[in-house]
Amino acid sequence: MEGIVANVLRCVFFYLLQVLFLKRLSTGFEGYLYWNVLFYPLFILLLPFRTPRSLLLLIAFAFGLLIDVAYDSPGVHASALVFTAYMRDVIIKLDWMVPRDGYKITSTPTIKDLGLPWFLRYLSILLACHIVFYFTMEVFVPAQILEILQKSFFTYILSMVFILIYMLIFRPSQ
Amino acid sequence: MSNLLQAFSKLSGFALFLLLEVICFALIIRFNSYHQQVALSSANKYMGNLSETADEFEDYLHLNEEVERLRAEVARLRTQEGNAMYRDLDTAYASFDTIAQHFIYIDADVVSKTFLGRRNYITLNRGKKHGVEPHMGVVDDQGIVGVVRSASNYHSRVMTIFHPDARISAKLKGTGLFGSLTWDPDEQDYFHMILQDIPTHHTPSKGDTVLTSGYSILFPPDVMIGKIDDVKKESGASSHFIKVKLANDLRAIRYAYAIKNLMKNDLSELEEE
Repeated sequence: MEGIVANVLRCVFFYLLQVLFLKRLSTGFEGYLYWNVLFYPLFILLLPFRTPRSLLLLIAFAFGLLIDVAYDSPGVHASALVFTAYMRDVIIKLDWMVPRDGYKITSTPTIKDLGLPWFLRYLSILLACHIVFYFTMEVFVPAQILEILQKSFFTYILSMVFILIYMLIFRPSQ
Repeated sequence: MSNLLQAFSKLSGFALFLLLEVICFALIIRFNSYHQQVALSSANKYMGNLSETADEFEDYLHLNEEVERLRAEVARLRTQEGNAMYRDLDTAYASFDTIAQHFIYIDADVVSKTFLGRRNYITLNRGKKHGVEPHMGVVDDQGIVGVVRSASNYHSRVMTIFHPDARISAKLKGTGLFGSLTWDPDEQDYFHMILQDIPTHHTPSKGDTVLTSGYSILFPPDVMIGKIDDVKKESGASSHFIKVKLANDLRAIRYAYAIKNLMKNDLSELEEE
């Protein structure tokens, strides 16, 4: 129960952070926009392991749509977030991601539970999935692969920095 | 709502993932004007490509028909050429038709051919019903082919120029000189023919063009035959021995045109007298 409350609060906080603050960061400059901070995927990443897979996908879909409402881009963020949620299950079951003694039922994918190296691998892979998928959907023309990769690259670095700062300062435990 | 959630939870993870992505995709295309444009224009592009490919394929299916149609067109156009006409420019007889049709081209498919021995024949899929008769000349688009020997209702047999009996009246372009063109059956050379009876006072050179003379009833004048490949002057002989490289390759022939001479009877009446 405590976990649910924490996650709902986190959801609200991340949403406001993304929509009120980070969105403005990336729209405040003139010219072509290469960078963008996508912080909200962390919400999906931090949901506990015991979350059922379909619930995870539905939460990702709903949360993505809420982000889309603010970004005025129906479906773009949602599709990326659903993809990330799906990939989360795939990634944590990979042989080299599973800890030696397996995941505990009650554990959450955080630095505290599984250590910094594990979390870094987890975060870097999933964030890359999310951002590349997001920009593929945003640009929407596969032939403009260069633009997709450029945008993804800058956004990836910035988002990584923001998320790691958050994780190291707040050290969420559930 | 809980029913809906239950229904969703029964789906396997991947199916649900696909379903949600499809919904997202629909939303993206439906509600984002940029994405809508991209989707529409690429759909147009791919549909355009697809229908172009289908069109090409269909063209290919109709290739035979098209070739037949074009051949008929070629026959019609060659019939209108100057050398297929009888011209009388003498104004004293201006009361008669000064231009009359002299030759008609009948297009035909080559249905069988053999180039093996001394006597080479081909068969055309045109016969009496189409106006083909014995003693008509046959040409293809590049050169001459032979002479019709016999015709049934729907087919005709053509003695090719590669036959010991073939004698084609030919002339050297740009001169008034003419001779007869024959094939040496002993050499089995399907690229060359021998031009005889060109008098020695004129020395033709390699590369000169050889055309039909128009003195026979078989071919109209000025139909391409080939180019001179080699000229030999035998001592004591009164004519050159000229090797002519043919313009066409008869062994690769697929289509031909039989030439009907409309003034044949006119001429033969004259000869009988």
